[in-house]
Amino acid sequence: MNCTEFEDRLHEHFDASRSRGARLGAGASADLAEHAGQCEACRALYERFQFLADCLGVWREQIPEVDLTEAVIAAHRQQSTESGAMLIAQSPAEGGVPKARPARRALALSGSSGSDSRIIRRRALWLAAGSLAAIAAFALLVPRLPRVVQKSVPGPDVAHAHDDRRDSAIAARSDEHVNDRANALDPVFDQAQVAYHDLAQKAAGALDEVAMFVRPLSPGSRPYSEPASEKGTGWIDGLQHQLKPIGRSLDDAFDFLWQAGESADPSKT
Amino acid sequence: MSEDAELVRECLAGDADALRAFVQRFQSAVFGLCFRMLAHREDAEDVAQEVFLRAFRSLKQWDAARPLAPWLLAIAVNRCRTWLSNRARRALPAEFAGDVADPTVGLPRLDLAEELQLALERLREEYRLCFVLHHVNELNLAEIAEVTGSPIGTIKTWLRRARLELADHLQRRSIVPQVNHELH
Repeated sequence: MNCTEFEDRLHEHFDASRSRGARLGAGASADLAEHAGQCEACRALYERFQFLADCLGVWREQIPEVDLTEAVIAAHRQQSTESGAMLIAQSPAEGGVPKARPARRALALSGSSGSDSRIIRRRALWLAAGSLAAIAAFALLVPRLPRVVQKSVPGPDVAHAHDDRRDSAIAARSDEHVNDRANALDPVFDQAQVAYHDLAQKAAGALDEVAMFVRPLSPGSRPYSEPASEKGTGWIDGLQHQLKPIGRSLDDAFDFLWQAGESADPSKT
Repeated sequence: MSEDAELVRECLAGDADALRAFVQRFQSAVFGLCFRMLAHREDAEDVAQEVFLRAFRSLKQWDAARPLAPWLLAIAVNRCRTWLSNRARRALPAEFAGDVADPTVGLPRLDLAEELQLALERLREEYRLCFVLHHVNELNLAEIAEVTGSPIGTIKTWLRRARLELADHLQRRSIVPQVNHELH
């Protein structure tokens, strides 16, 4: 027997053992054993298949039990009511309304992808990211506005500094002019600050919302495993993980929002 | 009339109990396939439910001369593929995906079933599908070929490659015990 034949026989033996529910080694033919004894590579392959067979036995037993019967029937009724064609004959008392309609199932049937929590989480994350971007834009623009105004319009202090050298009437007219301009701009600043503050609050709220929906991630967690709260490090890690693509760390995001909210709070100015 | 044909006839007649019996009879096979293909319980439940609804809508098209289970599993395979395709479309950005290119690196050792599931998720979709249909749904090569619409020779190759890659993965994870099993 050569190595190719050994591999062929090993696959056959793997299936035969599986169907008998026996361990891989049991019932192996003499020529299979003989070749494995002589060829180190084939023996290693056999060892790997042996372990694979052991894993397979445990793995097959770990499929959870589910009962989809009532959910499927309710969803079928719902779908049929909408489309007008159904297999189940309805009694008049039922009135075409399903008795049970699990929310998650209903969402899946109504044309969404079915993974509603994932969609909500994604939307919340984008909302948070968008709000952060808007706040960043405000943070860059708003502090510059007063400097622009001061350059173009002398402030009251500057105007009064010229009193000694200028006619008092000119100074009075200048003050009046500056005050008019400042009064005209005040509402703009107020609105900007209010909008800035609102955005900061919305972003903080969005981040909170994200936190509610973010599934905790940890290096060892996998989507099919139990909730990571039992083994993972919590939603903070999950959020940090998911903020990474937009180039922000969670600490940065919260610090930024906190400072933005504080500095833009109209009640503190 | 076969048992399958009788059940389908009752379902088409609008018998709610027959529909329930239909779901109860096939739900473990359909859910098992979905669960192992999608590796996510809630997704698997959603897809399994969708499979039954599609089956109900298409029951009239079922060929009574053929067994019902492969027909239903073919629907399940298609739904799983669509789901996986949608999931891939929502994949992480490339710069981020690079960080998780090999999520098994650095992972602590898991139990045997988890290790195998982890390895399975690293397989090509076709290999995974063949492996699951063969080892979870216990279909033979001809049945897998019928369900997937691929030639038997191809299925055989995919199944063998799936086993070899899984065995290699377990070896790379250094969890294959270094013991000499006796061949009897």
